[in-house]
Amino acid sequence: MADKNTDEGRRRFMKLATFGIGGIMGAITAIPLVRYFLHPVGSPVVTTPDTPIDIAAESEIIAGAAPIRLPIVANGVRDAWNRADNVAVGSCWVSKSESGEITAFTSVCPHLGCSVSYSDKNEDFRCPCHNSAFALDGKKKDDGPAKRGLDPLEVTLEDGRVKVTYKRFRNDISAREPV
Amino acid sequence: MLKGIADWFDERTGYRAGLASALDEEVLGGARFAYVFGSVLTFLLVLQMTTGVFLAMYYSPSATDAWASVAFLNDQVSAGWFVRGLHSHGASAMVIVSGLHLFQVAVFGAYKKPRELNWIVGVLMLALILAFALTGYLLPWDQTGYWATQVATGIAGTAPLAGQQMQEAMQAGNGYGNLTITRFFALHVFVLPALMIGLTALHIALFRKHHQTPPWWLDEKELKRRTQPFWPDQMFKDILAMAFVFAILIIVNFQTHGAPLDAPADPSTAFDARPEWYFRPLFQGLKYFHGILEVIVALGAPVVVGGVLLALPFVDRGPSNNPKKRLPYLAVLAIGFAVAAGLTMVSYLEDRGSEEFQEAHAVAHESSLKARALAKKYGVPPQGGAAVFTLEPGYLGKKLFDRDCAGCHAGKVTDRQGPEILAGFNSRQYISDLLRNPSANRFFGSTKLDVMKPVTEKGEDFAALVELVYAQTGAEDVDTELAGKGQTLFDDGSCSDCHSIDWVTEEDVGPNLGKRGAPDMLREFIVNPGHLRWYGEKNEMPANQGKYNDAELDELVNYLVGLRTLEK
Repeated sequence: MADKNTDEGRRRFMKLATFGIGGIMGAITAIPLVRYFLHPVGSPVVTTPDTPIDIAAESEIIAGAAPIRLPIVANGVRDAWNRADNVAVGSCWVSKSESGEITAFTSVCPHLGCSVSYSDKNEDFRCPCHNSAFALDGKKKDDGPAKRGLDPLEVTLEDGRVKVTYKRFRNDISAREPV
Repeated sequence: MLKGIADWFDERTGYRAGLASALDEEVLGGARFAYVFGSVLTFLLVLQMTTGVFLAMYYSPSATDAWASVAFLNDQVSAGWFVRGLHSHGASAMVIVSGLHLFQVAVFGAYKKPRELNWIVGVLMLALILAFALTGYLLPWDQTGYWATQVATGIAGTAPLAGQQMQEAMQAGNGYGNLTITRFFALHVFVLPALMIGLTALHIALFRKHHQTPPWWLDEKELKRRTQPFWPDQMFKDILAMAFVFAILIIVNFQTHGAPLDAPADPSTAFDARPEWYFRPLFQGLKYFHGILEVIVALGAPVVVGGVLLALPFVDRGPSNNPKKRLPYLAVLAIGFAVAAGLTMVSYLEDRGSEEFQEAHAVAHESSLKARALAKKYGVPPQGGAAVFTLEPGYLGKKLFDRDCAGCHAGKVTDRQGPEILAGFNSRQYISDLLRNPSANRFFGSTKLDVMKPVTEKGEDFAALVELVYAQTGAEDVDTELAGKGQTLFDDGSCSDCHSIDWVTEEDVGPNLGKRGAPDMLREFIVNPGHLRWYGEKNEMPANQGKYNDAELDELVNYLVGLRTLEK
């Protein structure tokens, strides 16, 4: 071995350079990988067209009767790479008042997203997961952890058919913000 | 503080001693660039595993989803093309660097006693790399992967005795489908990596036991004198080589914008499949053998190559590492390499020289671009990748036309019975050609309607008549003044002896030309061409009453109308 000091300096440099080059290569790989991984965050990967979706004939919904759960079957549903028709994207609770006004609530619980049921006994909506309860007009009842009432869906009537515009809302906040 | 934490861990794991023993290797004769290939391969393996895991985050292994998910991750996910490109080009890099590694080991005589086992492990790893490539090629379920892999499993099927069973085991069933892809996927991402990790560990452990094979031109004393530590001397050279390979990978990846993705696999189409470049020698070689010889070569060649490699350390048992004293053995390897390289070159030259292949290649490229654009815009129907084409506007109309009309209206001139309906149908040029020579084979030459005399008007008069007929289509760019002049000529001249042009009059000698080529006329005409307004009893075209629903008829009419402005 020649000069011990130069050798040590050389090795110091090689060690630093090895870490430096390795770090650069790591970064060049890691940055795109992180972007790639986070791609779905904040991007609309699963979407339902915001056009009204036919759910029933107006005559099928009886004024004053208990609410009925109707599936919402959409066309043109995008899920990452897929585009599909006739996809059940969710369901809604539909009722008609004595005066003939039709309302629809999405069955997604505003607390943590379970599917809300109707309780014949209590004549209200109940979430089976955490016992949130909602009145027939969708208002939150005192018991249960939900921070807001059920989320209404926009109802349109066309040629005797009932249509709703399907939306999802953010969970567990008191305001109603579409996702 | 930091040292405190490190001490805490060292006390419990002994990592310092472990790290030291991993790095404190002496490199006899000093660090060399000749020794970098193993490290570069390890680096590439880690890169493949990392990018592979990330690809699996978006990939869906099913016959209906695979192509769509790859198109999605490649064309829509942030940096998706980059990650997929690294993985695909990284595979090529592994093959190349494996070749270099093998070459270095062969030249240095590093397979010789006592390192025979490690050579065998290395040869097995090379086979694993090729197995990775074969299984990975199918996973995008695009045309290339689908058809090229069909050939590979087809070769297995030709094996004597249990060929059929072997093929069915490989492709999981009697044909390609969901089970083929789940099987290839499981092999590619679970089985092969597990084997690869195991063999890599073994390879490195055996290497650490026997160390580098030092250069043959230095004597013992000189080797000792030049000895350097692995860390950092050899590691520094290793990382320079890694950086070099990585830089090339990145450059190639940007230049190619990632890996190619063909149109979705479609068993109903013809496709000129080519394997990955490193399988070209076998692909080309098979062209020269037919019948039973083809089977023997296809299955025998890989066995022979593998056998020669595995046998090498047991045949070359001489004490010298000097390549000059091992020339016959090295020559066998060199000849093998030269044959492979030659076959590969011939294969590419043949493709380059073949107009047919170039044409098919261009069509395939078009088709790929179209499929990917449609997938990006609309998404892929759940029926599978190839169904993406059904989303193209006008697709149904063209499909109906091709199925029901093209035989008489768009076939070869010799087979065609009705007037030609191709791009430019009912354009001014088409009408002009028709009027000048209605009896041409292009028009009514081979029908019962072959009775009209050519229109002989000249100059602007002729142009006016063409414009009048053109105006019937409802096109937006009609010169109404010119068409009006045509109407006068039509009424005063001989046209009106046989034709009306008012949509209403029936039972003239010739068809009523009113609205000729307009959408509502086409709708009615397709359904009932023998209507008295048109061809009456001279009609030979089948009526399509009740054949199409409204939507289909709309699509078909749209297609016909669209031809007018389509360039030939």
